[in-house]
Parts: sequence; C-alpha cells; structure tokens
Amino acid sequence: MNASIEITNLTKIYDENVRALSEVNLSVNQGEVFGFLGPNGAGKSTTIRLLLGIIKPTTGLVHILGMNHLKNSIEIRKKTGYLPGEFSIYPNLTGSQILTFFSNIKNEYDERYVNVLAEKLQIDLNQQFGTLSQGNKQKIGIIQAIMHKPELIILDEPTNGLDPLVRNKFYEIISDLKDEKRTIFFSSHNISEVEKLCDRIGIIREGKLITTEKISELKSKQIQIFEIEFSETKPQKKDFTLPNIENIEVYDKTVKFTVIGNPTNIIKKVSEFEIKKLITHEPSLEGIFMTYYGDVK
Amino acid sequence: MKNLFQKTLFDHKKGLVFWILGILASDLIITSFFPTVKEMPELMNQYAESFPEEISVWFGDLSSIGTPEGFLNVELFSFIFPFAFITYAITVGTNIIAGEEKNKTIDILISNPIKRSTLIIQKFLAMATLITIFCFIAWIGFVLVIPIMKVNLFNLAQMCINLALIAIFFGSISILIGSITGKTGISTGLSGGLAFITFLINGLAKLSSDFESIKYISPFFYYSDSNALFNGINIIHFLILISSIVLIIYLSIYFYKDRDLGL
Repeated sequence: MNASIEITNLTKIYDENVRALSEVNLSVNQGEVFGFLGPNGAGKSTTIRLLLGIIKPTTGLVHILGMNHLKNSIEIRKKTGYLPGEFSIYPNLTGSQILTFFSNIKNEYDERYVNVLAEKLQIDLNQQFGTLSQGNKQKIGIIQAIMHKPELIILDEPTNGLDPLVRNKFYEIISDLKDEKRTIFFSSHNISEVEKLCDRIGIIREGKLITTEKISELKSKQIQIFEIEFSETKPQKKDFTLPNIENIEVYDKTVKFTVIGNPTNIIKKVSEFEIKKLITHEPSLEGIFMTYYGDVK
Repeated sequence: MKNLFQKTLFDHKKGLVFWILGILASDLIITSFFPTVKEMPELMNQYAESFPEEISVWFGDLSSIGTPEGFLNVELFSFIFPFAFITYAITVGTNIIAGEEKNKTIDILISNPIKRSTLIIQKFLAMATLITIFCFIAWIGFVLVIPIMKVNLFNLAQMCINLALIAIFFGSISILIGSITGKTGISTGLSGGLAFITFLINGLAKLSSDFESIKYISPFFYYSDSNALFNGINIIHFLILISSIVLIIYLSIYFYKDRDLGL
C-alpha cells in the first residue's frame, strides 16, 4: 500500500536547544484515517506544521503523496487540505469571500460542494468572519480544508468549539471522505471521536512517538475491568496487589480494578471471599490508553 | 480577489478613501495660502529670516517660499508629505508581512499552493501600488488648483515620483524586517527609527563637513538633493532608489523563504 505520509527520523530543535520533536518515524497509508494523540505541548502541532513546510525540520525527511515535502511543496499543497489548531483568518472578509479567495489560490472551486458543506454544518457564509462565534469560525476552517476534495487532509483539533450536533455532522463528512479513500491525518484530544473515526492511531509525548497501533488491535487487548461487591468482608487493597492488576480502587465493601491478560489468578483470589456481586466489562479506548500509556490527555 | 495582490488592495480600500480625501484636502488648503504669501514678499522674507538658517536643511529653503515650487517644497514636500507617506508605507509593509504572523493567519495562507517569494512580491506590489496611487492623487490635486498656483506640472510629477520612491523604500524596509523577524513591533519601530535617523543625517550633512561623507547612506539625499520641483529628477539618484528597493525585496525573499513562520 502506498504511503500518503512518510516521516523518517524527523527532528525539530528550536533556538535555545528546545527539542520539540525527536527522531519521529511514521507512515500513514493512502486512504487511512490516522489519529494523532498526545497531551498539550507533546509535539502534535509541531509535526503538522513541519509536514506543511510552515516550519523547517532540523533533520529528517518527509515525503507526502510520494514527493519530498520541501522540494515539491507547491505540488503537495495543491493536493492537501489543512485546518490549523487555532484557525484564524481575515476578520474583514465574509465566509464566502474567504472560501473564494483560497479557491482562487488553489485554482479549484466547486461551489456546489461548498454549499453542501455549509448546509450540513449550518453556517451562513455571508457573515463577516470577525463577527462569528468560535464554533462558526471553526466550520469555515473545516470547509476551506476540504472544499477542493484534496487527496490528503490534515486537521489539527478539528472539533474544537463545535457543539455535539455539529460534531456529529463533521463525523459524517469525515466518513464520506473516508469512503472516497482520501487520507485523513488528524490530531485530537477526544479519544471517543478517534475511536469512532480512525483506523490507526499514533501517540506522541514529549516530542517522541511512543507507539502506533490499529484501533482494532488496541481494542482487542485483553483488558478487563472487575468490580466486586463483597457480602461482609471489607476488602483491603493489599489483597489484590497482584502483577497483572492495575488501578485498584476500594470503597466500602466494593473493589474495582483493571486486569491485564489472563484473569485466572484473580478468580482464585476472589473465591476466598463471600461475594455479593461481580461485574466485568471491557474498558473504553480511553481506559486502554490509560492502562498502557498513562493519561494521554 | 484572485490573488494576494488584489486581496491586499481590497484590505486597504477603506483607508484608501480617507487618504485620498486627506491628500486632496492638504493640496487645496496649503495652496489656498499661497496667494497671501506671494503678495507679501517683504513680510515673508522677515519671517524666513526669523528662523535659524539651519532649519532649511530639513524643512526646505525658506528664502524661496515666494515661488510656487519653493512654497510647495517648504510646506509639503520637505517634511509633511514624505513622513505621512512613509508612515503609511511602513504601516502597510508591517501589516502585510509581520501582521500575518501576529494575527496567526500565516499558517493557513502558507499551507496553500503559493510560493513564499510570490507572497512577498505580490504584497510588495500592492503596497507600492497604494503609495503610487496616493502620489498620483497628490499630483492630480495640484492640477485642480492650477488657477490658484501655477506650478510646473512636469517637475511636480517628477517630485511626486520621488515621493513615491522614498515611501516605497521605507515600506520595503518594514517588509524586510517583518520577513526576518515576523514581529510587528520590531518592524514598525526599526523602520520608523531608520527613517528618522537617515532624515537627520541628510540634514546634518549639509550643516557639517563631518557628516558630508555619510550623506550617501541616507535615502533622503537621493530624494531631495536634485530638488526635483525646480530641476526635475536626477536619473542617477532615481536609479539608486529603485535598485535599493529591488535589493531590499530580494533580501526579504532570501530571509523569508527558509524561516520558521508563526513562532
């Protein structure tokens, strides 16, 4: 499968030796929806701004759509759509003027598609950008990123400021683009939307890419949450301090913990007590992240 | 708006109207005093003599104030027009380059298929066009007031060209500083400071031989030395200003093309 984004040993060091990104290697396949997760300041936006050539790498190589991102930047940008994390644009122009202006620069304008997007996201394109709410500004940003139906769409925190209803509309738009086999690379804080939209995720922390993993594989990790209520005995935390148990919480006669891997030893341990109620369930994706990588928020 | 050139002009359309009205009003108001000045040569000579001689090096030759050219030189072209136009050029030059970074609009702009060199060139051309329009309007204003003050319109046109060049020169300096730093405060401050210092140098060079050798570094020397209102443009000085502007824009592109933007 062709890679839409191929990052090799990408490092960015700012002045005064601030290492924002450290030897990142990453490949995003064509037609894939890739979620880029990490806490604030981890290097998500730096990576994205490097991909687009807004800032230059200290070392490393980036190929986008098979082209060197510095040598073929114009050709790449024709085929790329981008929404910055903090979308700010000319306050004196209306939404329509902004979209027409960027369409002219891109030399591509599909008015019908722009109107479809505007209707779907419920935004009036005749209002001046400076007078719009944060959510409506973000809608303009989303439209300008995808209105030319680019091969690669890079979105930095795209659902910031969107209300839940519009958020769902945005998910529908992304699903449509996914069906058209467009590559989507987006950073997010919202793990449930990543779970909903992405094929694969990458987790970045302190400028280092910790892991990349398929959502389906991540969800198939053998992690279970046990919640046990005892009849009489008040449980002690030390009774459950076993190698494959994490996040133990004890309150009154109930204990709650996360089991990683085979739970046989837990069942044996629990059978020593009189049990009133035992519930097990699979954790959310967020729970899996927290178990494996700590709190990625 | 098909490109950045058109968009930059569009962004300044409101200011453009006010500036045009202001320039025409300046032409009319200042010229309306000329008949009075002309009819009182002795009083004006006394007035001119009451000022220290040194002031002429910065504010024009007061002894020629009784002629249309001398009057315009003292009242408008020595100080008021150059600094008004330079201030406008620096403001525009700062906003169109460093302003994009300050307002965080540069990310989205540069993510579009537009070369950084094209960005600088189109924005520079828009700034130069605005200044050229103002200078043309200033000239038109004097054509309209010919019944009040008969001035050589051909020489005046050359003076207005000189005026456009000095303003575009400092507007280009603010583009250069914005391209290097991305900071609006530094761009405005340094460009304005440079304009003021080089203006002082040009005057001091006429007063003291110590400054004689450094007058050539002042763009105001090339603006004012030929006294275009009386003699027309000095073609060498004209070419030096044009070449300097081209060099400044070339340097702006050089520094801008590989810089990390929007930090």
